[in-house]
Amino acid sequence: MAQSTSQAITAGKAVQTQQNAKLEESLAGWTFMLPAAAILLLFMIVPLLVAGYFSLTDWNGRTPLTNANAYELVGLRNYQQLLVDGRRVSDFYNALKNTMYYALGVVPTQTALALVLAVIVNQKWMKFRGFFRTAYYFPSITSSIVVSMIFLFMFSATGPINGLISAIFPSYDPITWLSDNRGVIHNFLGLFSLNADSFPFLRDTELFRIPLWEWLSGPSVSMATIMVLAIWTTIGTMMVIYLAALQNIPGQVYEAAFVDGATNWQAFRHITVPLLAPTTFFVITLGLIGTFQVFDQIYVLRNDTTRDSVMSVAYLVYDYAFGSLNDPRMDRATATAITLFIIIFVATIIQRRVTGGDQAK
Amino acid sequence: MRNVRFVLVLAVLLVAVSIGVASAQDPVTLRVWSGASSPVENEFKEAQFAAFQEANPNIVLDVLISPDYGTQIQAAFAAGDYPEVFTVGQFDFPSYVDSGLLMPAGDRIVDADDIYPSLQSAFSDADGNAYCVPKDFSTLALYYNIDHFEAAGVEAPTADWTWDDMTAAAQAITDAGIVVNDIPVLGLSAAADRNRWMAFFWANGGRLFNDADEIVFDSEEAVASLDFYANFVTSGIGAVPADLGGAGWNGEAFGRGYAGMTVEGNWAIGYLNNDFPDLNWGVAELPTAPSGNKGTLTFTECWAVSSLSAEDPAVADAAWALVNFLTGPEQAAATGDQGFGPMPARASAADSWLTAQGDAGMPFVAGADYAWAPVFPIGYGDFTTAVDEGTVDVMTGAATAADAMAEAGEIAREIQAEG
Amino acid sequence: MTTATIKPGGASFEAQQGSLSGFRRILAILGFATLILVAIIQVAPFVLTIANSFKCDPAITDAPGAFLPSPPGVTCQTTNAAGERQVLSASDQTEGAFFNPSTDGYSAILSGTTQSNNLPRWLINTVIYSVTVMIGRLIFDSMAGYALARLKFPGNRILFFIVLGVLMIPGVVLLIPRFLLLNQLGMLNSYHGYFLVLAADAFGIILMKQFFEAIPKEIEEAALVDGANRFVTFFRVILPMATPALIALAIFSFQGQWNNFMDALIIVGTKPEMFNLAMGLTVLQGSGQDVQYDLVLAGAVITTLPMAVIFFMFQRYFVEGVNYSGLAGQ
Repeated sequence: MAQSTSQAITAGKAVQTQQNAKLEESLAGWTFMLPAAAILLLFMIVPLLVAGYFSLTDWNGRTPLTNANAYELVGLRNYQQLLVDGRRVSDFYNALKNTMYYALGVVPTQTALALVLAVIVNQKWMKFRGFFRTAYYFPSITSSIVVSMIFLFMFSATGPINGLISAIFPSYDPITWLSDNRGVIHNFLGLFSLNADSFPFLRDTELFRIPLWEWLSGPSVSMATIMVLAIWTTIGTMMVIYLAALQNIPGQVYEAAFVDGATNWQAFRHITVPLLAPTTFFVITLGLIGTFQVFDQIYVLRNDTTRDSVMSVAYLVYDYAFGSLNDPRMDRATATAITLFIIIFVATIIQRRVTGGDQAK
Repeated sequence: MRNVRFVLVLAVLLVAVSIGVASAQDPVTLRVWSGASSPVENEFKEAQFAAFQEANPNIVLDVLISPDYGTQIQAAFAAGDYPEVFTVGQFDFPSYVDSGLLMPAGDRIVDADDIYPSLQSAFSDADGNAYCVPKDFSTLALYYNIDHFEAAGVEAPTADWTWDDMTAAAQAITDAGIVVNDIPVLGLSAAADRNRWMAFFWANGGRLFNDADEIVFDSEEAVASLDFYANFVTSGIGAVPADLGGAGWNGEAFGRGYAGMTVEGNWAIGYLNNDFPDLNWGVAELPTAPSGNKGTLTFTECWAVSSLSAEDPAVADAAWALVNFLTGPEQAAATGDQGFGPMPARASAADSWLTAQGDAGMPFVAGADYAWAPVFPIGYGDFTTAVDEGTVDVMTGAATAADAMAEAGEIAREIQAEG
Repeated sequence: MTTATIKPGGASFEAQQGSLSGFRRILAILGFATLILVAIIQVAPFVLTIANSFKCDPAITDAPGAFLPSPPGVTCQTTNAAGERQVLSASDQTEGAFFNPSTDGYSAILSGTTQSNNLPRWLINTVIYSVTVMIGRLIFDSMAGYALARLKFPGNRILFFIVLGVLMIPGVVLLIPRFLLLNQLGMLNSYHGYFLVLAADAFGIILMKQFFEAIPKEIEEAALVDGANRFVTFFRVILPMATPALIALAIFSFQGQWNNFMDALIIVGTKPEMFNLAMGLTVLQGSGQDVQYDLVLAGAVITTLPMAVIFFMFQRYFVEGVNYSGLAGQ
């Protein structure tokens, strides 16, 4: 009796302590989150909600909001015009198509290259490690205006890139990399003399006023060139994330493996890559989100000729809000931005499901 | 304790004195915003403000030369808290008036007759009320490479050139087989830009609306103008600048000597002098269209007073004093002397600009008489997008001029029908 | 109870060192050559930038490839006897890979004292913005990242998705709403306004969360059982173990603010004395077709070099990553 009572008391105390501990942890959790959460709420989420509200109005973005008649609520009209039955509904879908090809091309390449570079410059035996790390990070810190100037020079018709290709393949007909609107998949099919007329169904069926054949164009040659630029500039950042993660792999794991006779390649394949999986997952998520928002690179390398073939969704937002001088459309810009936001959200969730990184957390 | 009291009394006195001083002098603070241009021009602008400041000690100028003017001023408009005096570009003007951001000029503009009418009309509403005072402007003309013309045995362009003369010259230069830096020289560097070929559109009688307010954008004369311009590229006697050694714009392709001619504005004069001092070039007026008329485009900017200033007469007076100072005959002449790219908006200052620029400036000044500011009404954004897209399609051979312009015209009709 | 021993020595293949056979040696040399080639590709543009920043505009546009300076130094613009302005042409300044250096771009930037040319002020502002925001993010991001990674509290998972969501907001659309908000709060054109808006960011939070998850739980549990306060544990035990991640975060955040144009434009953009380098140099470089390349490039070098030095200093800490030797194999 006495024993069971004391047991009950102990148990009760334990439960209470446990509850206290839980409460304490919750409290701690919220306290730790508070400063960051307050900043994000006030300066990111509130402005986003405001933008969301604008997307339901017909505000041009210029009439002062202090004016009584600055705007009227129009419901989902902007979304409808943008996505369903607007005069130029293809503008959005063309931008979306370009953005998707861009993401598909950039994310895997930059992730793989960054991983390889990080593992290499993390080798203890390597000489001048600091130099190499800094060198590989350099494109990330070089100003984007300068980078674009360099790229214009490198990829110009008579530039070093074409020079190099001509030296290897004398019969090469120089490509004007940065002002070529032809899709790379179309070009590839063209090698086998296949064109739109070879696929009457694709040519004649339209999805959102864009023929299926055009949907399947691949990125334009200019977009592909911009992708090279993007990969070149972002590898450094991704490499640093990998470098930081590599510091967390205990050296003993490798020592044990090498004692068992593992080769460098096996160690990389069976230890480094699996242990870095959460980081890879993180880098891919970041890459996906970043590429869907691509703006800077397009801004500096777009020209009159390639205006449509390199148009991205984020650029479209800018164009509607600030680019169209005699017809500013803040309403449509915000609707485009909210749509892009939702697309990125869905794409990220799909990516997390597919790559399986979600279960661990 | 005594110290505290002393401090308090002193503070009260100070406040009283400062209020007294303030009400006695009654200074007006004006926020003055404009976008950044070249370093020389920025410094000149700052000197102008300093000169005004000195002459008007009662007016305090709070100056912003912005790195991204469009975004900043738009944010300020949205907040309803915008500068008293600011610059306005011609493309922005209609929507600024529509949004009630500008104070009508009334009869406040000094010596208004001196300002080129084509410029003042770009800054007036449909009823002819001026809102903004033109500061300077640029027009398009034909740059030509004297060496290439001589090598091809073609006479230099003159003011009475026709479209056919221009096409023939481009053909001759291309056929001459001149090579610069391994690049075969073509007749014309032709940017796929609506704000280039529409000079020919205007010259040939192309209009968006006819007198009956019907959309006539796809008229025969209009289509002929795009056909004429795109033909240089599609028939290989010209190319877009990117296809001329990867140039970033017409001026660069021309400066490098890869094209015999190009259609550009006077802003290219300084660029060519600075970056390509060895280039041997000249400028002529754009050729006469089959219609028998000349035409060019103009790009202009003005100084405006905000509608907020109208609420306080003292502020409005100060603001207009500044605008009149900046755009008046004296500063216009000073602008001309500096010889920047843009020309002063006053006819009286044309000579000072021409003296600074030399002969190259003449065709641009001549263009002021028949120039058009290519601005379309508010709400026609989808139309201009269609024109831009059509321009590229026609110049890359993906569409005919007739089809592309019919499509843009159709969109314009839809917009008009919606009101 | 003991706390875990922490000693330097991260992942490496050092066990393999010294066992290179002849064939492997050749492979290693080839590999090293590849690394150097890649390094050249990555650095060449910046070397060209430095070289071109010492040229006059004609040489920059016409002979961007010349990268070896050779005496004598030159001036870009001179006035001849007749009073005409003369510009040094590309062919006069360059010969093959060699060029005569000019410092005109730098002196134009460094000499200015007007509103539109005030490098010292922009530099001071940029340092203030970058350092304060970096400190803010190191503290707030790691606290939030830790909470999301390790602490169980109601709303944890939802908060994580909200933070992830914040990362997905297209920045352009925030410009106007943020300006409206800051205008209402009276925080425009102030150092504290800049700091408050940017003192925490979604990217940093997620980065830190990612790394805290990789730290073995046992270490902090050991510390907690010791009865230490959670905050003390966090700052004394957990945070030091996250050094590599903190270094990465410090690099990213410093660099981000050093080059930040858009946020600065909205938060501190309407008072010229509050400009940062990115804004100031944009004003200075001019707009449209009237760009002065020597100024652009000199400005690019001035902004990039400090970043390169800072990165070089920071990256050394990646060598001394932590190792939880007491817990290995658990």
